[in-house]
Amino acid sequence: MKKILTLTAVAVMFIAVNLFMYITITQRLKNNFSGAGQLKMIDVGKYLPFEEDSELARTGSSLHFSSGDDLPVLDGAAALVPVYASVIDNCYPEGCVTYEGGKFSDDNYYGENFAEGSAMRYQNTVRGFTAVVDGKTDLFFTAYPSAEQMAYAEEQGVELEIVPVGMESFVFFVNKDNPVDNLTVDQIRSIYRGKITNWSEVGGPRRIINPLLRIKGSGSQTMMEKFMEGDMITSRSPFAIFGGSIGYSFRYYLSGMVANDNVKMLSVNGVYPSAENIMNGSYPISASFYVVYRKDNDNPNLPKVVEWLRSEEGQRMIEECGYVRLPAEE
Amino acid sequence: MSDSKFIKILIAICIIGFLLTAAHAAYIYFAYQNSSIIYFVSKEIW
Repeated sequence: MKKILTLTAVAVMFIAVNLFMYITITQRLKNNFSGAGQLKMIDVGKYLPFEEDSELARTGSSLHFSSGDDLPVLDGAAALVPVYASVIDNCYPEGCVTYEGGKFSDDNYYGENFAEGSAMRYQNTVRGFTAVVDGKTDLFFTAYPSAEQMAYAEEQGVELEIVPVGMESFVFFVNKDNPVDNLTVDQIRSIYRGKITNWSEVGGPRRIINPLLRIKGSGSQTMMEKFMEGDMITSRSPFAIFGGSIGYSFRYYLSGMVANDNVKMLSVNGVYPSAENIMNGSYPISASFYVVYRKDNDNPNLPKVVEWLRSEEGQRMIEECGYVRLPAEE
Repeated sequence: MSDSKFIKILIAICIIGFLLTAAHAAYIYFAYQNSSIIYFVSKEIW
C-alpha cells in the first residue's frame, strides 16, 4: 500500500508541475508563430473594400480611377490595413480587389487569399516590405523601415521614396490589474536596458518585470529600436516569464484593432495617449507613418495616390480611420 | 508488490514524467519567443 501511494504521489507531482506550468504560462501563449498566425494579427475581413459592412473610412474622394487604369497595388502593416483599404474603397474602381477562388478567405497558410493582380494585398510588414523592393507591390504603408529593411533595398540596388502620410503614437501596456499607470521615458528605457528589473522600483509591487519584445522587422519593433536608440535587450528573458509583463504597440492597433479589455495603456511622463494628447503634441512618443515605393516605379497613378493621401481629403480619411493627421508644416 | 517491481515502475513514471515535462518546457520556450504579446499580457495573473 505504501509503495502504491509513493508511485501515485510521484505521478501526481509531475501532473501538478505541468498543470502549474499550463495555468501560469502555456495557456497565455497564443499561437503566433506559424505563417498564418503571424499574419492574422487582425481580422482583415472587417476591412475589405466595397463590402457593405466593412469598417472603412468612406469619406469620398475627388480622385477616381477607372478599371482601365494602371492601379497601384497597395499593401501594408497590420495596423494600417484600414487606411490603405479605405484608399481603395474611396479612389479605386469596384472589382479591383480579387481573391483566389473568387471569395475572401483567411484560412490558407499565408493568411488572406488576395489574388495575384488584386489592387489590395496583405502580407504584413516583413514580407510586404520585401515585395515592394522586389517590385511586386507598388505602395507599402508602414512605420519607418528598419535598418535591415533599408539594407535589403540597398543590396538589391533599389532606391526608395519614403513619404509621411499620417501620425500615430507608440504606447506601452501592462495587464489591467498591474497597479502601475505611468512610467517616465527614462524608466521605460531603463527597463528595456535591464537596469530596472522590479516593479517596486517604479512604484509598483515587488514583482519582477518581464519586458516583452516583438518580432524583428515588425513595425512596432522597429519603432521600439528607434525609441531605445539602439541600446536594448535583444530577446525575451525566460527567467522573467513569471514576472509582470510590459509590452508595446501602436495605439491604434492596441485600442482599436485588437481591443483587449484586460490590458491597459500606460501614461508616459504623466500624459495618457489619448487622441487629444497626440494631436496637441503633449504625448511624448508620437511618430509618423509612411508610404514606401520604389523611386523607379513608373506607374503614373502612384504619385496621384501619394499626393491624395497628403491632401485635405486624404488627411480627413486618415483621421476618420482613427489616426492623426500630419502637422501643417510637414 | 516486490521491491524490484516497485523500483521499475517508479523509474518508468519518473522517465515518462520527466520527458513530458521537458517537452512541455521546450514548447513554452519556443512559443514564448514568438507568441502574441498582447494576448500574453492580457492573460497574466496578478
